Amino acid sequence: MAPTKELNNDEFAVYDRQIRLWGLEAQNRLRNSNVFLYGLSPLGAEIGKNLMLCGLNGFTVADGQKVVKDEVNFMFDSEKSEGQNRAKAAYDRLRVLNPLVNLEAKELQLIDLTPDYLKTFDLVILADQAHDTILDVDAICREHKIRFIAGGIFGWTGYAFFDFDGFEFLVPAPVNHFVNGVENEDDGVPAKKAKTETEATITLEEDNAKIKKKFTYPSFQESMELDPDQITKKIVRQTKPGPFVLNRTLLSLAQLKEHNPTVEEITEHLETHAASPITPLIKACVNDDLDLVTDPAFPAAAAIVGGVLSQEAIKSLSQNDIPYVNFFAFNAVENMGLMYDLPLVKAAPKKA
Amino acid sequence: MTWKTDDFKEGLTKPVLVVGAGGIGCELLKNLAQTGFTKIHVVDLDTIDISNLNRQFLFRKEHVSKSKAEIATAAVKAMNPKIDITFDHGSVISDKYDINYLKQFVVVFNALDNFAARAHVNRICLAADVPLIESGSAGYKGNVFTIIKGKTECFECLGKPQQKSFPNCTIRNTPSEFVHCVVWAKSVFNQLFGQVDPDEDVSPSAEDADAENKDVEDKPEANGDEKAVEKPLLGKSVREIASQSGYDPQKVFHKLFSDDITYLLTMTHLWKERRPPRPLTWEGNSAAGAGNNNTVWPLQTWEGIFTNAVNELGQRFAEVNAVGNVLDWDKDDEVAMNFVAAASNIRANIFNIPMKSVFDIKSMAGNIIPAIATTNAMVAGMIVIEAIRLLRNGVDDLRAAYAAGKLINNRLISSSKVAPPNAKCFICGGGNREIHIAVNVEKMRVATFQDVVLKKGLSFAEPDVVLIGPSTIIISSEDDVDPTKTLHDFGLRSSSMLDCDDFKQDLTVKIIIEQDSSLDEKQYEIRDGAAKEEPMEGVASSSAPRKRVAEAVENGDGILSKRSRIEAN
Repeated sequence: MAPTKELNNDEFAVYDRQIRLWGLEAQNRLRNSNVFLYGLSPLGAEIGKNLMLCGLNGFTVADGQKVVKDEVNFMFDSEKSEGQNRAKAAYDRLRVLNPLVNLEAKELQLIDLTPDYLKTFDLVILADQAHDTILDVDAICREHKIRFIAGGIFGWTGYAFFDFDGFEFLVPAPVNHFVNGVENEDDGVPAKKAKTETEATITLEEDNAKIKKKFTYPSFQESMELDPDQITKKIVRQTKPGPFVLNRTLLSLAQLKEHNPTVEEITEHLETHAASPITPLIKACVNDDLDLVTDPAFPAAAAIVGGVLSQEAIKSLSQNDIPYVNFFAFNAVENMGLMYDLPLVKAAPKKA
Repeated sequence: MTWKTDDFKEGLTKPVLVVGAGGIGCELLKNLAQTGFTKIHVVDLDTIDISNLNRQFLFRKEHVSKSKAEIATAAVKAMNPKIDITFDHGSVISDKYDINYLKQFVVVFNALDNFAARAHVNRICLAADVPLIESGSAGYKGNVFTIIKGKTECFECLGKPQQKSFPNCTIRNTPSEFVHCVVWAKSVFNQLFGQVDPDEDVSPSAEDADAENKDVEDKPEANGDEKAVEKPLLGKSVREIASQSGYDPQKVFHKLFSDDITYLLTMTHLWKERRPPRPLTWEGNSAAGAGNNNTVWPLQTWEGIFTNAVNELGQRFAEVNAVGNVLDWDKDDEVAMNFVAAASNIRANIFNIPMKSVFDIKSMAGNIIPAIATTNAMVAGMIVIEAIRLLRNGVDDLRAAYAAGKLINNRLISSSKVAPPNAKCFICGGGNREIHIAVNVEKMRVATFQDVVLKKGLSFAEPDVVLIGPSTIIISSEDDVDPTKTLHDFGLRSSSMLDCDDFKQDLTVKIIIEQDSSLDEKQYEIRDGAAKEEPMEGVASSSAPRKRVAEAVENGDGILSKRSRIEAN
């Protein structure tokens, strides 16, 4: 483990507004964290920006793809950088966001994402990678106790998957109110204003008290499991599964076609599965305009998914607050983002 | 029509106005540029501060103290040289941004950090009939909603959020929370180095002949017979003591933390149920060892910091006072901040309240709203979605969107149909633009009515006010008002009606005066029908036309919000 580093005055000035939100301890944890991001897509650019700004110790970005000329991505100029590796092309614009962070940009292929390499990070993030890549890397991360996040965008929709299985978070302690001021009651005057200093202090600490808590996360494989026939009206009502099944379908179609699906491919898929209870849910999500969930990524959707994804990354690294378990799906058509506790249909009813 | 067709893209080439290039503004400009908006004008009067850099990603350390609008514009151009983006480093409440100028834009985006500017843009957009997308963020929360004249709620439909204030007597006599000491310390700063304002006096309150009437919260203590005994004891004001001694820290310290506290102890009824304060004596302690702003120093160190701050501010005051000026308190002025931190800690210690670090005190004293990149990124995303919804589908499919910072019905990002205009809103509610205001016409001066009620309270920019009936001109935006005259001197009585016209905002509002002799010369209350049925006490807690769940905030990057329905969903 790297030696713990403390914030200096410069960092304090830059991070002032966020330290006021999540506290110094959380900021120090970020300051000692090392993160790996694979995929400098438009979503990857958003994640890269957010995590550079928050103040990590080390941040490594990598990609195996090259910049395409008409690609819209604020981390590089796609005309000037055409043909260059996407991570390397993003380096300069990432770098200037925060000189306090040790930034590295690497050209890596999927095959390079070995357990030994990934183990050097506190958190691994995949942006816009294929279904099976997520499956494999998540399995590695679970085995080697590395925090894992995957996210992707399909036009106006997108998702983020979180796996912080077994990691500790500091969550607010259950509130325990002491009964104060019973002593001075002989003259019938409650002693509410005569609080002793000790009592006052206890009250203050109580408000901020945190306890350590671990959370159980299902794997990506378990999360994606879904038997369409089990989607009852009750489940639809309770979980509002539209955005989830939309993203799940797009992820598996993309795996099958080896690219984000086109309108024709989605249409064909939906026709083949016309009887599935999933199909009407998907159609409702996009108002029957399938063009809305095809490439390129809608920048606003990338900004929102990237924001939620990065905030969970920060929460996990700083161990601060209650994390969300475990799948976020955003649909810009309705401007709604839902969090799902997957799998959608639980195998056996769990006791709370 | 889908989002990749030529006519959709054509819609994005029409000019848009971005008001504010801060936390939300930077993210919004990036999103607009990426989405394909090609004609953008941005206005911001602010300059870049080091504490912006954790989220305003278009700015770097070398840009500190430069114009936000200028640097952001250059950054967007670098991102996409084909964009036609222009800027003003100036205020949106300036003559340039009049109704005619606004009409060229298909949509205006508010990415502001204060109520006054938001209210002003709200009014000029309503007057110009240009859609306005309003947004705000605070910590993990954010919201976005579109304002269309006659179709939706406007920014002011839910009334103005009240700033939290504290009973005067708590600040002066019986602080019980740290924040009371901070409010006191800021007032002491003004008493010592600022414009002397008798209304801001924070010395023990029995000196004030009207203390009993004002201190509604502490009724048991406010009985008249003590005044006669106590008044002679209090003596000179801290300002007199300071200026007569050449801002001798020992004298100032002695007055604030010994004499005044001893005086408070003579009001024995105050301490029957409270722990009494302990007067301190000046010991000439030094501030040696103080450094990191995140540490709570021992009392002696705060005393040293206090001494240093009084010395330095006293010198500065002497310099500016020689040319007729005074000092203004600023949270980013280290010495002024140290003064408030030290004074509030010493007072807190005297009143048995745990002390705090400079860092924590700055949050309270400077009213700092925490702000992070991720929330702003989400808000700016929601803004663009609503803008596209507006351009694609028109005004019938608008939603108000929220990031609640927690799950509500499994939703992290939520939206609901926009609400229709509030018929009672004095800005947009039908043709009936009127507002009832309770003041004490005998005490309130016209100048106060102009500055505190009309400008600060009701967000008018340049009001002209005429008394309906005799058509007396009460306030003219082109002339100064006579600072000695009260409203009564101009013939205002209960039920007087005023025509308040703001040329800049193209807005005329009828103001109905309600005389309330219990109010002070600077107090006022906004009342509506409901208010008459349940009379409200004190200006601080009043004038909420409708119940609000989420508390509104004004600084940082955001409002948050007025729009509280999400809490109830």
